[in-house]
Amino acid sequence: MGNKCSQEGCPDPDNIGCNVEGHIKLSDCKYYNKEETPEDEEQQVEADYYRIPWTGNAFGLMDLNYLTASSKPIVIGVSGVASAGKTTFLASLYCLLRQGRKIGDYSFSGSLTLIGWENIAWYLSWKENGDIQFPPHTTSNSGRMPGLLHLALKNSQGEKIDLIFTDAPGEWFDHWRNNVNSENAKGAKWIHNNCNAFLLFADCEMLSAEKRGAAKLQINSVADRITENIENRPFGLVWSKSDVTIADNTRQQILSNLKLSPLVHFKEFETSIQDGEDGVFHQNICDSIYWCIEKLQKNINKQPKIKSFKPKDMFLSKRVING
Amino acid sequence: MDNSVDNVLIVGGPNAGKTHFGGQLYGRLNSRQFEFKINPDNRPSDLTIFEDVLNKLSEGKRAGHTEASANRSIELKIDDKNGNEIIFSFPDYAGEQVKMIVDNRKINRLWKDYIDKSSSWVLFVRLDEIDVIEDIINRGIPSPEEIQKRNTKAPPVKMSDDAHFIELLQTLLYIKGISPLNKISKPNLTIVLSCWDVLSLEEGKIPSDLLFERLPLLFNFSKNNWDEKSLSILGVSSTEKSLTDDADEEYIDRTPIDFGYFIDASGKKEKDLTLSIGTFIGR
Repeated sequence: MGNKCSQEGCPDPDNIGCNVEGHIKLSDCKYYNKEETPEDEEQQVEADYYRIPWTGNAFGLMDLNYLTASSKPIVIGVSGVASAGKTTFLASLYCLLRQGRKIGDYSFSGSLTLIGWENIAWYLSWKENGDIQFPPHTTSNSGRMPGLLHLALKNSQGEKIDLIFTDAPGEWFDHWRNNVNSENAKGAKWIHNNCNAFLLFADCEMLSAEKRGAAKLQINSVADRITENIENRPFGLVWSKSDVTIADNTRQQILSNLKLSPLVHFKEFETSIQDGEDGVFHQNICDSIYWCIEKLQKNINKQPKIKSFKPKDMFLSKRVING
Repeated sequence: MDNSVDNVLIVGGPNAGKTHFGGQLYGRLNSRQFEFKINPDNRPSDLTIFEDVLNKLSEGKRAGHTEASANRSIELKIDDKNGNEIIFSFPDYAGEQVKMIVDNRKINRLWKDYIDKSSSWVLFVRLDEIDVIEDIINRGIPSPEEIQKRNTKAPPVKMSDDAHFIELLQTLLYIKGISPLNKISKPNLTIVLSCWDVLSLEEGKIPSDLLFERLPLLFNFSKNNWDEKSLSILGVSSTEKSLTDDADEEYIDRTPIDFGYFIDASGKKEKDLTLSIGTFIGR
C-alpha cells in the first residue's frame, strides 16, 4: 500500500483524486509517485481514467477544502443526545427535498454527498417488503470529526449557498456535557467551535416517558454548553417526535432554562416524521433550516452613519466618518 | 471552439431509447422532407452505426441492444431551411457506460473526449422505467398490513434515479470544467423524456411539469444550474408505438419516418423530429 502522494494533504489520490493540485488526471501531478506504480497492464489502464474529487459519501475535514475553496458554507450543528432523532431529521429533510419541497425561497441545486444522503434516506423509504426502519444508531467510534453532509441551494434570484450538516453520534454530546475536555468529546467540541448555527434536539418521546427526568437534565446541560460563547449564532430548539404530547411543565422547564441564556436568535420547531395537521411537522423541518439561513444573513454589521456635506451635490458631497 | 460546429452529446443509460431516436432522426434527415436535411453532397460514407436500427425499423421490428463495447460515432452534415450548415455528431455507445460513470466515479479517455468536444447535452430519461419513490413524506408510515403484504427480503440500498442523474450531470460538469456558481449557458442541456407514448398521459401535458412531478430533484437541479435559455425539457416518442421482434405491417406500409413525434416545451405534438435538433443546439 503506502500513500502515492508525497503531500500530507492528499491521503488517497487513487480513490479520491488529487487533493493538492487538483489534477483530474493523477499522472499529471508532480507530487504523485509514478515510479512506485507497478508496470502491469491493469495499472496502465487505471491511469487513463479521469476522476472526480468527491466520493459522494459524507465529508471528512479534508473534503471540505474542495468546497471551501469557492464559497463559505453555512455549517449547521445538529446536536443532541443519542436517539433524539438527529439522523432521522436529516433523512426527512432530504426526503422532503427529493419530493420537490423548498427551504423557504431556496431549492435544491446540487450536493457533493448524494450517496451519504441516499444512505440515510433509504431507511425512511418504503422497500419492496414495505419496511421502514429508523436510521440505526450513528456509531461512535474514536472519530474526532462528525460526518458532514452537503447541500447546495439556490434562491429565486439565483444566489447560491452551501450548507453543511453535522451528523454526529449522540454520545459525543453526552461526554461533552459532562466534561468538555474529555477525549470522547472532541467531536462535539469541534461542532461547537465551527458551526454557524445550532439545532438542539429535544426528544418528546423520552420527555413523556419514565426517563423524563434524565432527558430534561441531558437537554438542559447540552444547551448550557452550546450557549456558552454562542454570541449571535442562531439556536433552534427542535421538539422531535412531536406526535407524542409532552406535559406542559416539562416544556416550560426546558424553555425557562434557555430563556436565561444569552441567546440573540432563538426559535422552537415541532417536528416529526408523522406529517401532523396540514403537514406542519414536515414543514417545520424545512422552516428550521430556512430560519437559520435567514438569521445568519441578517447577522451583518450595521452600516455606520456617515455624515455628508451637501449630499445632493456630486462634487461637494464629501463624506467623513469622524468629522 | 469553432462556433459553427454543434457537437451534440446524447447521454442516456441502458434502454433509454437513444438508438431508436438516432435511427428515426437519421431517417427523416436523409429523406430531405423535413426542416433539417442531410447535405446531399455529404452523406456519411459509413452508416454502420444506424445499420441495425434502420433495417429493423423498415421491417417494423424493434432494434437490438447496442453492444457494451461498441464505441462509434458518426458526423452528420445537415442544412437547415436557410441553408446554414450544422455538424451534428452522434456518438453511439451502450447505455451501461453511462451507468458505469456514476457507479465507478471515473471517466475514461474516450468519454473525456466526448465531453470536451460537446457543445450541447441531451439527457435521455425514460420515466416508465423509473420507480416512484415511496417514503415517509409522500406515503406516511406503512401500516402493519402493508408490511405483511410486501413481506420479502429487505433489498440493499439503492440510489434513487433522481440522485443518479444529478451525480451524472455533476460529474460531466466537473470534467468539462464548469463551475456551478453561475448559471450555465454552454453546453445547452435538453432533457428528453423518452418513450412518451407508453406513459399514457393526457393530451397537451407539458414535459417540464411531468419532470417536476416524477423527478423533482433533477428538475430543481437543472432549473437552478442552467440558464433559462439553455435548458429545454422535451417529450419524445421515436417510434410512436411499441415494436416487438415481430413485424408490424402498418410500419412497413407507411414507412418508419411516418411514425414518431416529439412534444415541445409548450406541450404541442410535433411530427417533425428534426425540429428537435434546433432545440438541442439552443436555437
